[in-house]
Order: sequence, then structure tokens, then C-alpha cells
Amino acid sequence: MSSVDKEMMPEDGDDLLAAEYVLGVLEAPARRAAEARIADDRAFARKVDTWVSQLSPLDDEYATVTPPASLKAALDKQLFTSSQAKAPGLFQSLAFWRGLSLASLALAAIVVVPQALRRDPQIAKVMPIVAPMQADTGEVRFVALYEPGSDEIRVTRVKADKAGDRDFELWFVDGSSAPESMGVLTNAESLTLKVKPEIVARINAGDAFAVSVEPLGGSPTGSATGPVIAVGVSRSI
Amino acid sequence: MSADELSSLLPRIALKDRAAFDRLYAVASPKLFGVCLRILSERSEAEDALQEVFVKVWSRADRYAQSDASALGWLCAIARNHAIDRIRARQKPAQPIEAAFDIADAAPDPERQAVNSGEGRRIDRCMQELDPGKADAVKLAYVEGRSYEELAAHFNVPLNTMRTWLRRSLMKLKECLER
Repeated sequence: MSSVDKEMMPEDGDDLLAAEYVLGVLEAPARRAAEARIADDRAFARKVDTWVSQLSPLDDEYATVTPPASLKAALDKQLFTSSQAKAPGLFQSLAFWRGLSLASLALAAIVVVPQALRRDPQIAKVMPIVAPMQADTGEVRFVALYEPGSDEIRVTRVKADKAGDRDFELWFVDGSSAPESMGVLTNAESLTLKVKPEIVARINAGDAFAVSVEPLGGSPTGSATGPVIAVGVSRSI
Repeated sequence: MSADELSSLLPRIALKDRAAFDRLYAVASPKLFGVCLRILSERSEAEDALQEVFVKVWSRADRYAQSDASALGWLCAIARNHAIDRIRARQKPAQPIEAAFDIADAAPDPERQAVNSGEGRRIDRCMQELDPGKADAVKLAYVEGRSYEELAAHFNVPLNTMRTWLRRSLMKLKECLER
């Protein structure tokens, strides 16, 4: 370490590292190390964020250049075709449903559905819609179950722990407008939420459901403000 | 494109709203493509990078909620980081680095001169407080994502000198920006 490093390191070391990372002067190994700290160390991540904000006016140096139209098509194909191709395998897999039932999901997937089918032959013709919501890691965190025509949606918490000063909020996303809140989820393992009539009319297999972390009582703005911890596309079962 | 529109699109994208993603692509892709092109120089590589950048935007939009940066600043940071990672992963260029810089420097961007002569932004005032050569180094590092080693070659100074220049400049900038 040079004398200059020693002179600046003690109090400014983290801030300098954050600045060097944002500026982009670090070599690959040092960049990976800085990113590991961003993931683990909130104080450091905040310093990086401050530098991003402070230096971002320099982004004016970048000209705008329209990318070729084929690029968006390739992007959509990568993001949306492959995931849709994978989903049916998962949803049709008996092992997947067995796994869910082992994860105390018997209620949602196995018991409720046959009862509904028995109760009303009319409903039997309309397949219930289920949406397992997964984390980035693929782990299923919540499952929503909706019977077409009903004004209730059932949500089972599979694996997610709510902090005391935060609530989970369920969102419905059909792409036709901004995501709609379906309500705040308590810490219950399974709960039923009333669905607004205008959403009842819109729910179809293929729509997405998501859960975000929000301040107590739900998002103050009407859109998700906290991290989204689980997302899933619904399907008929 | 308004800043408000961009920042309202990101939470919708976090919820996997494709209509919001399409809109974000329409408004932000030219800027982010500009970022990738400037850092990577090669058009086909910049196209690959841009596609990867938007894959990241789709999967990480929820993290925007935790950031203080403007939506465009946050998006540019994703594009810059991704493009910088790509050039760091490249093999060392066969061509002397000086030549590459000469080409890059040869064409000043008229748009940027117009922007910089506009309202006196804090970053510009603070950059002016740096020695002119040092301000150029900071700007070149940021805009083109050059490493300490490449900058040292460009300014023809030893690596440690370059590092010292930039670190001192960054601390001076910080002191000025927070004043």
C-alpha cells in the first residue's frame, strides 16, 4: 500500500472504494469484491448509491442511439418465451404438486379444489386458477388459488416470514393497467381476501400475481414500494 | 420522457407488468444503448450488452425502490456496470491503448457541449474546482469506464500516480458536492 493509500484509507476507505466502483476504474476482481459488499453491507451499499446519484449528471455525456428493432424481439423471446415453455412442465408435474402438498399445501391444491368441484357441477366446468409465487431462487413462497366467478381469493403462505414492522401485499398484474393491490397479507398461513368486482371480471389464467414487502397497512402510494419477494403466473388446474 | 414516468414504470415492472416493461424499453433503450456503445465501442457487442441490461432491469426492478438515485440514473448505472464488466472480461487489446483513446477523443459530442454549457449543475461546478487534467481523467473514467491501468497509459503516468490523482480528485469532489 502506498503512503497515499495509508493517508486516505482510515476514515475514507469505504467511501473511496464506493467511488472507485461507481467511477468504474477497478479491475474485475476488485469489482466482484465491491459487489459482494454491496450485497452484505447496507452502509456500504448506501455509499455506492450516493455516488451513483452524485455522478449521474455525467450520464449526459452519453448520446442517445436507437437500437435496432430486432433487439426488442430477441429480448422478448429470451425473457418471455423460455419461461412460458418451462412453466407447463412444472405445473403438470405430479411431483411438483406432491411437493406442495407436503409443504402444507394440501389445503390449496388437493382438498379445496375437489370440494369445489363436488359442491357445484357448474363450477366443475370452470377450472380453478392457481398461482404459485416464487422467489428469484425458484423457491415457492406463496400460492394463490382462485375459483372463477368467486369474489374471494385464497392465499397460502408457504415460506416467507414477515418482519414485525412490515406487511406483505398481494398484487394482481394482467398488463392492461398498473398492478392492482388485492390486499395486505397477515402472518396467517392461509387467508382469504375479498376481490373487487372489477378485478373479478379480469382474472384469467396467465395473469401474474406478486407479493411485495410494504409498510404496515400496505403501500402508501397504491403501487409497490418495497422489494417484490415472490412472483408467479397463474394457470388453470 | 419524464422522470416521473420512468420512476412509476419501475415498480410496475417489479410486479412483472409487461406493458410497463415495453414502455420503459421504448423510452430508455436509446440512452442505455448510447451507454453500451460508448463503453464497448463495437456495435454488435453493445447490442448483446443492451439485451442483457434489459434482462437485468426486468429481474431487478424491485431493487429500485431501495435506491435514492433517479430512475434514469439507476438504469444508466446498470448499463454502465454491465458494459464495464464486459470490457474487464475482454482480453487486453492488441492495439496500443493510446490509439484507442485518440479515436475516442477525436469526435467531441456537440450535444454534450450544449448540455454542459447549460445551467450550472453542481457536478460541473465541482469538476471545475479540480485541476483540468484531473477533471478530464475523472470524466474519461466515468464515461468510458476505463480502468486505472488504462488511464495511466493514456495520461502516460505510473499506475500509482494515476490512482493517487483519481482518489484525491474523488475526495475533493465529495467535499464539494456535500458543501
